[in-house]
Amino acid sequence: MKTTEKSGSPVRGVTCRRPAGRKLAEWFSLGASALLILVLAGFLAHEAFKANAPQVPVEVGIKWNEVREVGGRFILPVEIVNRGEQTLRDLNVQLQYQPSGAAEPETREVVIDYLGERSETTLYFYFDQPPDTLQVESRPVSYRLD
Amino acid sequence: MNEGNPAEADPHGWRREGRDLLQAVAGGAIVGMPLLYTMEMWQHGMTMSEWHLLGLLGAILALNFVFCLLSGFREENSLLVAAMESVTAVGIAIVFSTAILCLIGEIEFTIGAAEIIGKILLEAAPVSVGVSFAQAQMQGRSRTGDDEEKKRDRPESRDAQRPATAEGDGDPVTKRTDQEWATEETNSPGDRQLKADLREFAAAMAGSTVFALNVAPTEEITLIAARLSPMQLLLMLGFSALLCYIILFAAEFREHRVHEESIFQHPVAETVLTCAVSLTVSAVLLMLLGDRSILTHPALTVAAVVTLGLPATVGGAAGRLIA
Repeated sequence: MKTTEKSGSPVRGVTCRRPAGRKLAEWFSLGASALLILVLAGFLAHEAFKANAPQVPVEVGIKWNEVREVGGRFILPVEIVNRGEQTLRDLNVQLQYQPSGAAEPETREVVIDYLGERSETTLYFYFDQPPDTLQVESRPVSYRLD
Repeated sequence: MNEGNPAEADPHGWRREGRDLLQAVAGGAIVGMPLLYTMEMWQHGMTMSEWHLLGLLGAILALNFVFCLLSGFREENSLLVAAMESVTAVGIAIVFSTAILCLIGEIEFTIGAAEIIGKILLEAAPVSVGVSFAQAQMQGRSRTGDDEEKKRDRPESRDAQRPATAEGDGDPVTKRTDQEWATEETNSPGDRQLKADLREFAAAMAGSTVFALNVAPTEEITLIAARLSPMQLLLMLGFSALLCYIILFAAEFREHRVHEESIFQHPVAETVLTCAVSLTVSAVLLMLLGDRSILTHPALTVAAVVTLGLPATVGGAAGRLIA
């Protein structure tokens, strides 16, 4: 139980109350906190009034200049960029390539759980042959919005 | 520094405010740490709409406002005062949540601002409750259980340290029955110190186990450990030790009784020992309950121990507070 004596002086070992008046340091903490909250609320309100279409542009690009051979296999980085204003869920990215000697092209699909607005991420694909000889193409296939 | 009058020694209240902020950080860490390590919290923060986040911010402020209004830790407790305290509590929670999310690599510059704010606000909700609780329950106390203004009048002799036994006059942390005091006084200082050290060791172990047990079997530990660089892990280790020191000593939550002076009673030594206990508990829990993949490589195992070490250290320090 929090108590104060009649005189207002705190009792030993129990929580005492702060004096009624605020000191400069307390005003500083309050001011900084209020400013932070106002900036966040202002930003959110600004974003909330912007119309967000459900059609979100996603760019998928192969980083050819960053292909590396490691342990006899080739690693191909593919960059996925969300240019939209919404977080995407279950973004499906497809990579298609034509192996030498194969009649049909092969396809690999990766699902990215979350890709935030204006965010980017990189996927790395393994190949047994140099990827620049395989006619590699990549594209986004589908996504989900909450 | 003026020893006689604390108001003159700290005219603008920076010292007291600094201590109160450290208490708030400690309270926020104790309450919010497990949720700061929860993947679903990060993901919900990412996908919530701006209106939803604005509503959440309003709800956090309202919750803290009610808490501050009811806890009444100012002599003049009006609606305005409660509103101001809730703003400060939420501000501290936002800063602390941001720091932890940066530390665990959940906030990066490549992601959008709304997404970052979503994660921070969602995590700030539980942290702010801890901040408000610490502010309401701990402000005005010193480590000796006295108010600062009374501190100057406290005699230094051991007899004088013995708390008054009148009902309602004892700090729950330092209160002893006469029999306990009599038993304590018949033991040598070395025995008393050993007993106290063992009690605090057990408390640190129990606290670490309770906090780390909630997190050790989850995927988050592997995820965080795998993405952090050695430098980030080193930073996390340092931050764990700093948080431990804040909770144990800097925030002045409780009295630290020293029966026999030695290097092991120095705050730095005690902080290091508590961190070591917490890291050991983390390692054991990860071996028993953790993801098997983290045991495949020593570097990943160490990274996972350090990652789990942060909540474990907070738990260890919190455990020692109630020992």
